[in-house]
Amino acid sequence: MPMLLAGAVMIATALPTWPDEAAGWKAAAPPGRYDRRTIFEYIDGHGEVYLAYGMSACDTRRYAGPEGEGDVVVDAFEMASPADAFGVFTHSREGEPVDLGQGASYAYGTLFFWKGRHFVSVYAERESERARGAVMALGRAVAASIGETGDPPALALRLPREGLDETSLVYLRHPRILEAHVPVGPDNPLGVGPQAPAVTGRYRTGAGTADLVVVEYADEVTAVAAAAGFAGRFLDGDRPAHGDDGWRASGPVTSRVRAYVLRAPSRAAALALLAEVTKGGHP
Amino acid sequence: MTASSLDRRGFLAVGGGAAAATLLGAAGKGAADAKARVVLVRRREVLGADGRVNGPVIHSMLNEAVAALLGAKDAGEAWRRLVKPADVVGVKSNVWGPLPTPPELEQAIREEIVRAGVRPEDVAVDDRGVRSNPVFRRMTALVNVRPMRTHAWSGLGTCLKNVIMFVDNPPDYHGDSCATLGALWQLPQIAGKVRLNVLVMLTPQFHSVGPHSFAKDLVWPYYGLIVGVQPAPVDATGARIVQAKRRQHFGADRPISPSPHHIEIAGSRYGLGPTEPAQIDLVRLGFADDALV
Repeated sequence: MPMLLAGAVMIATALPTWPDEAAGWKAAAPPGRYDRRTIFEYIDGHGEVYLAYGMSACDTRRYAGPEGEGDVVVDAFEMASPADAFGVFTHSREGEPVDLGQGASYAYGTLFFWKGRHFVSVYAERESERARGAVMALGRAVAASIGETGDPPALALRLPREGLDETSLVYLRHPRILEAHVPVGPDNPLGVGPQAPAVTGRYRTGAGTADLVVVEYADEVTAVAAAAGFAGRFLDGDRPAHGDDGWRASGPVTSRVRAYVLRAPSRAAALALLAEVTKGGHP
Repeated sequence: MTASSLDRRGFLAVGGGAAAATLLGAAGKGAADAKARVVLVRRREVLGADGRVNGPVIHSMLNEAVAALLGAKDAGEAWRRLVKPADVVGVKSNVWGPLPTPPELEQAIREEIVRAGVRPEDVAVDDRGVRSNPVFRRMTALVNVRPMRTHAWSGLGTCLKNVIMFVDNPPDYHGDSCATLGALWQLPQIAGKVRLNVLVMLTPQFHSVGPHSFAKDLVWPYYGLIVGVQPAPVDATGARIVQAKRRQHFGADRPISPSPHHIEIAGSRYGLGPTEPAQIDLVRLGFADDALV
């Protein structure tokens, strides 16, 4: 069973009002709506990603293109919180940045953006210059139809910016999402979950790259237990240790927040990154 | 092909019993350090200008590959070694919308199984319905066929992963990027029954984006099939091709993400065949341009 997110908002808002036509593409069918149970009927094999971010509803509409052009599909996911919408965007983003909503990117005919509690994908089944125009027009219309905005999670600001590849920053609260970005091994060793959100990013170091994961636990007891579990499995006591994929290190940021460095090219790089995130100066 | 060209130790762990004995020929000929044979067959004519699959061409590709895999004098002999008239055969397909197993290939497999002597009513092709399909419920042999694509949880959708529909709750196998998919092959409904794995490489998908995990620019015409007895070497070969394509497309070494380590683990932990190129006897049929492996 997919891991349920405690506190997830399960009541979706009213059906959205989207245009019937944009840039020559015309609505081919009435809007559709899927919930946490029916999403698998619509998205084959990928629905769990959205459930992992507390999806409550997915509104969708298909637009038929002019002669010789493919359809464009709009999918708007209502997530549990703005933080989750930001998170699923960071998990999904690809390609060139776009100035839309509260963060957007475009790649392979697909526009992604987040705004408030919504994560939106506008997908051209056949990419062309004209289709890109329709994708952007529909994206702007859908963004305008979302009245609310929201803040990214404060945890995302825990990552030091120096050396960070910003496009690698991912906010998450499900272990499967973490595994998709950082290979941490079986059994959720960092204890990430609905009550223990995390942010991860990849850093350029002198001799390569390293992954940093910062986890905010529900309380100090949980944080200490998770850190002890990580140390027992990956560290030399509480000191950095070398594994198959590089150096690992861990340390406290606050009583409830722990930082984990993985795949660092050297012991010194692991410790330097750990020192940067634990030295304070971040909210 | 000789018996020793199969990894007997690994194959017995998968197939066991009569099927293994049939394929291996005389008992004891397989050396523990023998390579696993995998056949890559490619024909440009298999795809039309409109991208449609040419049924007769894919049928002949399948037969060429199966004959080469088993070292048989012709395809008929090869199929008769794979299945016996008394078998009940499930063909595990894949219906994923943007990139399904081509119906022309499903039909070719079904025809060859029947031609080998299996009663038509004892052959079924299915994907989502395998747990309730009456033929699959009494099957004695399984042919596993699916296209290669990138996947959100397992890194790659592979032959190894294709049997996940045999369990009640597939997410049970999603942990650690689906590392334990090889365990599926030890389930009673599968163990000892898989006779052939066919990884469809006509238009493999090398990257995924968006909710629908697909874009036309993320597949490319490769015109191939990869065929083997054991799943891990078949998938490992396909994975190398996809990784090479990613390197070519992105202009840098961008690893498949998440890591498809379930392939290596299937070989090392579950005995589903070798995954290192040095342990794979890769037979190439058809054109070689841009083979990427």
